[in-house]
Amino acid sequence: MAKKRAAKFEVEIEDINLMPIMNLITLLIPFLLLSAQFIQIGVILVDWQSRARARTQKKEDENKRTLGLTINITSKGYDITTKEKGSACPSKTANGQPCIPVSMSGGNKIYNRVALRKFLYEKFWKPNKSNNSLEPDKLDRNIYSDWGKVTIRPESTVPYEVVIQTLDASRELPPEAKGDVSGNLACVFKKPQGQQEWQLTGNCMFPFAQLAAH
Amino acid sequence: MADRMTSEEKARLERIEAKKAERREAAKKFRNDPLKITSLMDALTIILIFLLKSYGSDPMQVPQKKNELILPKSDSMSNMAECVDIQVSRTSIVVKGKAVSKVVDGKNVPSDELSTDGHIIVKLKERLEELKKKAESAASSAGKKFVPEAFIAADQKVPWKLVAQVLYTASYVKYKKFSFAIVKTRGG
Repeated sequence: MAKKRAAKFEVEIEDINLMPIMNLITLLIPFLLLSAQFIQIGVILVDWQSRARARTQKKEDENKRTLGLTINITSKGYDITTKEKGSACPSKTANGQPCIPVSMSGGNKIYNRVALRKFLYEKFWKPNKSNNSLEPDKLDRNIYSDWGKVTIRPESTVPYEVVIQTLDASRELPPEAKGDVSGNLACVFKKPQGQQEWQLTGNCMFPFAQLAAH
Repeated sequence: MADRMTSEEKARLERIEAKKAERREAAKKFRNDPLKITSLMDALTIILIFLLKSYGSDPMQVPQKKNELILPKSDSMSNMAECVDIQVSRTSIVVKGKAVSKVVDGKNVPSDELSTDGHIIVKLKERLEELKKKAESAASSAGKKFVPEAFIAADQKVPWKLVAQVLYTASYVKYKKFSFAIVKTRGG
């Protein structure tokens, strides 16, 4: 009887058969590898200037001092104007040339965004940075009520890629500005979780871009 | 000398025999024991978890295709947020996964799909209006304020005119804020 009972509990313990799980995982990995995105997608925030909004803006700005910085992207290059002084490069404009002309390379037009960034920094940001700020508590002390804003007006045939490059050039400070600001030169829009408004962090040149039809 | 050689030979033969026995023993052990795959399983599970995590981390995916939709590169370090997405490729305009309009020659919307003034893409307007209504009712039932925001993923080579038409249409439907999708050239 005792022998019978002992025999009843003699169970051979075997290793768990992991092969089905292995098969499943080996199938899942290639599928996920194929569908995974290894590049990081980011965003650039912009505003669209409709004609109606442009008219309202004009009325609002009439009583305030505004810089009215506008970058026109034409087939010839970058043409920069301000509401206050007109063309940013009067001598070139008199000769019918843009402020930063395009160069040709392999039959393609190359828009010089490095030169544009440097131009905006030296001509507009550096001379005015002491009297203007993007910090919310200092906005009322700004000389220009529209400090940090830029209107970009591309011609209809300009490739979208050039518009993105122009947005980058006007938003971020050039390496020459390292001595003028504390911290790094990155300009980032962040949307804190649960909030609906974007917040600006970092050191920026003209981060509030408004796009308009030419 | 011959004796010494023999003993050396013997020792060598013994060593060889011992090695052979060792090998036989190892082969027998290998035959009896099943393949150990636990460490391999560990590695694969870690890879699987990593891939699943990266799969679910992006709020929105932009499937890029050669000669159709390649996003431009940018220095921007801002991350994307959930909103209505409009994809402008060289062949079509897609809103939230549904194609609304064709793009001819990689640059034009057919004239019969445009409004009389040539600025508004009619079917895009209808789709955006429909999505806006849905989002507004969902936001009001959740007790939240609805912010009309659109996310535009356009191919780097499309002309500005096409993107401007999309922006014009979206602003006509009262979408106020826009974000352009880009491929980050630096981390953050």
